[in-house]
Amino acid sequence: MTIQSYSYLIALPLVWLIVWAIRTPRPRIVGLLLASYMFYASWGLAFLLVLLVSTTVNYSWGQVLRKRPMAPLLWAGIGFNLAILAVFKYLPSIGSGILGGSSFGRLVGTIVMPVGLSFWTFQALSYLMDIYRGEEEKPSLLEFCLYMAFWPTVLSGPVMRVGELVPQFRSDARPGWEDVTCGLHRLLVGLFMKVVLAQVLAVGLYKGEGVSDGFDKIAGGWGGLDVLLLAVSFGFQLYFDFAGYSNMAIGAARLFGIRLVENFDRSFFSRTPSEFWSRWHMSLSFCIRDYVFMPLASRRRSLWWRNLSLVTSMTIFGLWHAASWPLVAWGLYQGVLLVAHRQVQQLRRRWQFSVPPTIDTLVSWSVTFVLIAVGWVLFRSHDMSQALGMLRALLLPGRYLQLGLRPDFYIIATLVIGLYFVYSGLEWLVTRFRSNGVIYHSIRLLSPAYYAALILLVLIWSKQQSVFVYFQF
Amino acid sequence: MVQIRRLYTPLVCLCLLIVAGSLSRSAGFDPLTEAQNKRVGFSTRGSARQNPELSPAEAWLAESVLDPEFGGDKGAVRVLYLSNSHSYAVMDLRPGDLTAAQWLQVFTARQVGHGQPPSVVRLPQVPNLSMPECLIKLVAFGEQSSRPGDVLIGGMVMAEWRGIGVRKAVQSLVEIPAVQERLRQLIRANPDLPHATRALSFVDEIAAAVPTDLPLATRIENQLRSWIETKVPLLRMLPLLYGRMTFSFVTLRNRTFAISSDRARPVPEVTYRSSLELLELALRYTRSKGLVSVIYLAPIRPITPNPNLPSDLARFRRDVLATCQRYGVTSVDYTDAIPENLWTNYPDDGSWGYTTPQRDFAHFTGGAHKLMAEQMMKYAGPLLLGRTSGKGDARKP
Repeated sequence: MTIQSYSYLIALPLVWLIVWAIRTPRPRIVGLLLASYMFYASWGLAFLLVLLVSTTVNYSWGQVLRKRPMAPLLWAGIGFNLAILAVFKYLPSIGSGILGGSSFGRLVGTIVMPVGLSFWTFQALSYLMDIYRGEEEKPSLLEFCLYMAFWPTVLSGPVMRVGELVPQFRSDARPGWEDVTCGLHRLLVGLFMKVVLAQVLAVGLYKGEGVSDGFDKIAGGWGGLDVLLLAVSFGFQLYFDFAGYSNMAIGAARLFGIRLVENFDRSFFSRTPSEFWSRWHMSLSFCIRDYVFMPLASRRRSLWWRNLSLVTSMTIFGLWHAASWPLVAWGLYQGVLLVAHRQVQQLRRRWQFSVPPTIDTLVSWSVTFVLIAVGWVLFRSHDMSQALGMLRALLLPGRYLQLGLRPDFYIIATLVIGLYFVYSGLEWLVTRFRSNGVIYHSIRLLSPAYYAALILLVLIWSKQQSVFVYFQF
Repeated sequence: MVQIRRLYTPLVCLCLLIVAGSLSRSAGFDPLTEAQNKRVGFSTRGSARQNPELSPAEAWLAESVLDPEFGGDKGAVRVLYLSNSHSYAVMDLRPGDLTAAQWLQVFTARQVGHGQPPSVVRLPQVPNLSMPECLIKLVAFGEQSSRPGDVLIGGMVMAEWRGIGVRKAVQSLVEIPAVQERLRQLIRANPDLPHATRALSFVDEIAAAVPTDLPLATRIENQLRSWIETKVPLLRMLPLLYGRMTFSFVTLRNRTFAISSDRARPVPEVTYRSSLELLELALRYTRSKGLVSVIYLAPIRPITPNPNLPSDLARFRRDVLATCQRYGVTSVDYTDAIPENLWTNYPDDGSWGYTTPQRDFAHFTGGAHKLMAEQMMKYAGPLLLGRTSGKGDARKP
């Protein structure tokens, strides 16, 4: 059951009514847990079994760790979770690649990764690490089960920490009108981003267009502009897809009065790589910062070690997505970008180099936008030879005259991306001048047309097939 | 009062959706008809009977070309005629006009007089057939109903080499196990054609995604979806609304960028390479199945300005004919075969998706179809009659 399926959209209000009718926290947790397990089991009973095993083992290990917070015990817990990741996520791809022909290779090739495994395993890891650091909330088994399986987050995050979620489960406040309207708004906007905008960029309007065909069906011969367009469009596709999904998850949880952490914050307005990573997939990048980078960096005080820790953390971030060289290279590239940004900042401070703020902002934004876009080539490529071929096209000026993609895709991508910036500008203006009576009443008057248009577009595009990029992670 | 104000947005929104639903129902928009050049017609059942040159038996044979399946004609050579809409659409259609494929069926039958026709021609009608789609259609024919000695007539249209997309309707053929297996085998066995195999990479994705037994949740979702779609009229209209939006986009694009039908449209390098390799893959496939191939280059309207760039055209002619020659396949170059007077019977005035009258560079008249069939019989007649094994060379009518 995907969160844009009819089954989900029918089940959601039913569950809401049942949970709303329950006044005390504990039975409400039971209700939410049952709904979460049913939702997860709809992807496969075996997946639920893996989740149950992981939940039970992690909870039990947490109890042990709480009594004796020792590093070897923490490492054993981390080892268990990494083993789950290794067996279900990395072994099939590595095994079928290296041992493809052997019977063992064929066997591991048949292993299917439970959906959302990377996300809920990360939540389990954060639980163990928080216990070790003495920051954890002491959930009951029931609360921990819900924390691991909570259906808005179980498939693709946002990655939550025990301290952020469990206190909300315990609250006896029922969802109010604001929760419901805000939740529905986020759900609808998320659906629109995911089903319409991400889809338009992924497959275009006709056959043979879109990011998917540009990356998947072409084996070489891209022009520089093609690669640039594909890279930028993929960045936006991923943004609409994942930020849309996050909006839907946040909206669904909000309907029940539960607030999830934000995952995206106008990422494409970032002026530095560091800023980008504090606005993109925030829940995971903050976890990587807190659980990988900080412990690593705090081991030595020297600058080179700090930089190495940064690169290592981002490489692990890349590897978290999948065991593939392009993703490792993407993580490494992001790490190098972050280090380079720090060095540039230091040089600017040392030389007291300054330019007018407007030019500074514009140049910083443009450079960051292009550098991050170049990274998407690595992220989306099937293998290193494809990635290098595309990057080579970017570096050869002569190749910019050669256009390989259908002209309509240039128009559509420019239109969608341009409209995103226009919409963001309008949103900023509305937020700024909301207190103005005329603007407030105009928005209120037009809001039904706005929502009706969103629903209609979502319905029209829902007939086209939509695949969520982050399910594979 | 507060409650009423709260309900304003959801209630008005619902009303607007209901209005949109009823408007879309009453609009009666058909994107396919709307986007089509109104002067282009299609030979249908019954139209061949109006041709005075044909006997009733020949008219029946000509009409059978439009059947989707080959039927059970034992011993007859099966001829699959694959190309884009130029092969089945007729410009300024007149009563009794036939397509080249229909004429071929008639001509081959005349070669042996009355009785069992020596060959059965079938013409799947797929507009804008790209090369990956062409290959899938060919493999579906090869794996399902061909026999050694059967013939593929492939019409290469340079304009279609500008894209390598595959529509869902054609993609569904990949779900047939034999077709899927053969395509996967072709991908694995031909690593020297990387552009072609990459263009077909979705075959492996389909193979991985088609479960033998759908999970309960998916079955419930499918049933729920079909039930809801029968109950809510707006949901039934969604494909048409999508077509409407696409059509509006095209119209807006043409107006904004002043795009006309005679504006030069270069063939991108990447799709060109993929299409050429896909042609090669198709020829390897036909050879492995013992099928006889006849490849022709579709006619180009001999006027300027022209959407086909001379440099693209020269390369296309050179590469396709050379590839065919390499595989010993008979090829016919119709590029200049149709004179301007056979492209249209009236002044150009089509304006599909445009604001001003436009020339049609893709479809020609019934007279041109007959001329093409006559030329085809001259150069590839024995192959269609099953009288030679098909070691061919390049021909220029």
